[in-house]
Amino acid sequence: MLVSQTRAIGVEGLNVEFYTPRGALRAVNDVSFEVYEGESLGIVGESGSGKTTLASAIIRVLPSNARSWGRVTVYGKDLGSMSESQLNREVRWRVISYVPQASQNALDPLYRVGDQFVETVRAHTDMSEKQVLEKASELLKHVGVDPSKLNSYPWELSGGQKQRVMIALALLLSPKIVILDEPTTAMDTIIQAQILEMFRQLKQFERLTTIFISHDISVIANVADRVGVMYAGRLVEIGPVEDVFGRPLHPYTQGLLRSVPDIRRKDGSFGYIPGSPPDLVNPPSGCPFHPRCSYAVEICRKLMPPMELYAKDHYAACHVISSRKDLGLG
Amino acid sequence: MFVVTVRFIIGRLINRLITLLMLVLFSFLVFELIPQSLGFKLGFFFVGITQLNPKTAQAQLAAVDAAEQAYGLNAPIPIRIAKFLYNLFTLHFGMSPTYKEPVLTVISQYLPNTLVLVTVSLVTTSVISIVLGVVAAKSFLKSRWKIGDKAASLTSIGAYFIPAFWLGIIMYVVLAAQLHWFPINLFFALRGGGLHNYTGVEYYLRYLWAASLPIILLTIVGFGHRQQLIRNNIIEEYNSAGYVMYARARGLDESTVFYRHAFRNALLPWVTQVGLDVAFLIYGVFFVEIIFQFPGLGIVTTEAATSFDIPLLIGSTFLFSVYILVVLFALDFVYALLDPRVRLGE
Repeated sequence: MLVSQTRAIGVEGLNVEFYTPRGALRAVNDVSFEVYEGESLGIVGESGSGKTTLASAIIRVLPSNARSWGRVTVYGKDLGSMSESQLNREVRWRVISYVPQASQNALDPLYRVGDQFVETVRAHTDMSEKQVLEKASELLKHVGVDPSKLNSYPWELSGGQKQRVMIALALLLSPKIVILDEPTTAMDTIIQAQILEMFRQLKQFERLTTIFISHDISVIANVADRVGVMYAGRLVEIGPVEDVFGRPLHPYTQGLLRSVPDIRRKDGSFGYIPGSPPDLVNPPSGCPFHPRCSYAVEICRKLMPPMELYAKDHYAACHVISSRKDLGLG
Repeated sequence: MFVVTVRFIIGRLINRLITLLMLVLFSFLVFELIPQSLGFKLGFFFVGITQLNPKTAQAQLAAVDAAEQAYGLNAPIPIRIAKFLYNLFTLHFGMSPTYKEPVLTVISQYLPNTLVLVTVSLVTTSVISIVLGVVAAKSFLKSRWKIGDKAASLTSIGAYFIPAFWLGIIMYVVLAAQLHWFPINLFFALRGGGLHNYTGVEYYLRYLWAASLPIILLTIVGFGHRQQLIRNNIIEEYNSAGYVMYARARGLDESTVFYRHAFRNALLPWVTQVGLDVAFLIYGVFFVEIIFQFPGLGIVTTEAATSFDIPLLIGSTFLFSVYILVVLFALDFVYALLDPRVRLGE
C-alpha cells in the first residue's frame, strides 16, 4: 500500500465534554491519531464509545452543550484557530465532507433532496442550479440511486437510499477527506459491496482520504488501511488493520473480535465481554476497561495506561500487554 | 403533486365542515333537546321568558303555543334537526326576543367589532411571539450571558402570568379614565359623546384608537406561551436535530442553518398552537369587551345568556364556531405550505 507522507488529518489530545443534568460527560477523552493522504482509517467500538462525537468534533459541529479542546489540523491548518465562517469557506465540504448515520435524519424533511444538493453547492461555489443537478444526477447514478429521487423528499426514500444520497452529497465538491459514520448499516450486502468498491477506487485514483466509523468489523476489515479501537471515549488500540484484527493486543479489542459471529465456528457460540460499558459521567478510575477485564491487575485500577508502540505502527494502551507471554511479543 | 395537494385541501375542508356539523348538533342538544326533556316549553325562548301574570296567563301561554307552532318545535326530532341545520347554514336565526329584531341584524351590527379585536390580536401575538422567540433562541444559542434570552423570556412569561382581568381594569382606569390617552368607550371615540360625527379616515383612526386598548390587553396576555414554545423548539432543533448538525457540517452559512433548517422546523408545532389559541381568544374577548366598553358580540352574547335570549345565543355560537373553523382552515394551508409531509399526506 502506497501511502504518502502528507498528513491529511492530525488529531492531538482531543477531548469533548457534554454538560448533562447529571454532570460533565466526557464522550471523547484524550484522543490522538493521524491520517495520511490517500489513507483510510477505520474507527471501531461499541455504541456510545464516542465514535460519532469524535467525527462531529473534527468538523466542529458539536451541540451547544458540548465543549471540546485539543488540536485538530487539516493539511497542517489548525481548525481550532479558525472562525466559524472561515471554516465554512475553507474547510467544510470543500476539504472535508461528512456522511452521518442514516438514523440521524440528516436530510431536512421539509426540502427536496435536489434542493439540499443545490443549497450545499451554493454555499461554496457559484455553479448554476442546472449544473448542480447534472452533477448530482451523475453522482447518484454512481451510488446506484435513480436521479429522479432528486425530486423526492427525504422521507420518501428508504434508509439505504438516504445513506447513498448522503454519500453522493459528500462527494459533490470533490473533497480531499470524507468522514463516514456507519455509512453502510442500512444497505443490503450487494449495495454495500458496490459502495465500498467505489471508495476503494476513489482512494486509488483520486487519493481520497477517508475515516470510516463503524461497529461492523467486516466493513472496516474490507476498506481500512489502519484501524483505531475506541472504548469509553478513549482510543485504546490503533494500527494496521491486519495487525489489529490479526494479532489484537488490547483485551478489549480481543473481546470485540471474539464477539463477532463467525459462520465457520461450528458450535454457533460466540464470545462476549461481560459487564457493560462504563458510565461516562462517573468513569472508573485508572483504565476504563478494568472492571470488565479478566487480565486486570492492581495498577489498572489506579493509572490510565499510556499509548505504547508494540509492533510497527501498532499502538495500544494497556498495562498488562508486555507481561503476557501468549501474545508472542518479542 | 397538484392532484395530491387539491385532495389534501378538500380533505381538510370536509373535516372542518364535519366539525361544524357536530358543533351545530351540540347546540341543538343544549338549546332545544335538554330544556325540552326537562319539561320546559321551548316557545318561551321565542317570546321571551317572563313571569306569568295571573290575569294574562291565558294570553301568554297562547302566544307560547303559537310560537311553538310557528317554529315547528313539536315536530319529530329528525325533522327539527334538519330544519335547525338548514336555518343555521342559511343564516336564518329568527327573532331576538330582547332586541325585538332579527338575530342576524343584531349580530351583523356587533360581530365586526369582535372580529377586529380577535383577528388583530391573533396577528400581533403571532408576530411578537415569533420575534421575541427568535431573539431569545439566538441569544441562548450564541451569546455568552444569554441576556437577550433572559429579557425576552422573562417578559413573555411575566406577561403570560399577569391576571388579565386585573390588568384590563388597571389599564382602563389609568389610561382611559384618568389620563384620557384612550377613549372611555367606542361611542365616545366615534361620536365624541354625541357632539361630533367623524367620517372618512378620521372615523377609522378613531375606531382604531378605541380598539387599541382591548387589542393591547389581548396581545399582552396572549403571546407569552407561544414565545416560549417557539424559543424552546428552535433551541431543541438547533441543538439536537440531525439535519441542523448536517447543515452546519456542509458549511452552510449561519443564517441559512438557523432560519431555513432550525426555525422552519420549529415553526410547525407553533402553528398548531395558534389554532388552539383562537378558541381562547374568543373567551378572552368576552370580558375584554366588557372592561373596555367595546360593544362587540362578546357583550351581546353575555347579555343574551343572562336574559335567556336563546335565538341570539344560537346564532352567535354558530358564527363564533364558523370563525374559529375558518381560522383553523387557513392554518391548515399555512401548515401545508410549511410541511410537505402534510401536503402530500405522508
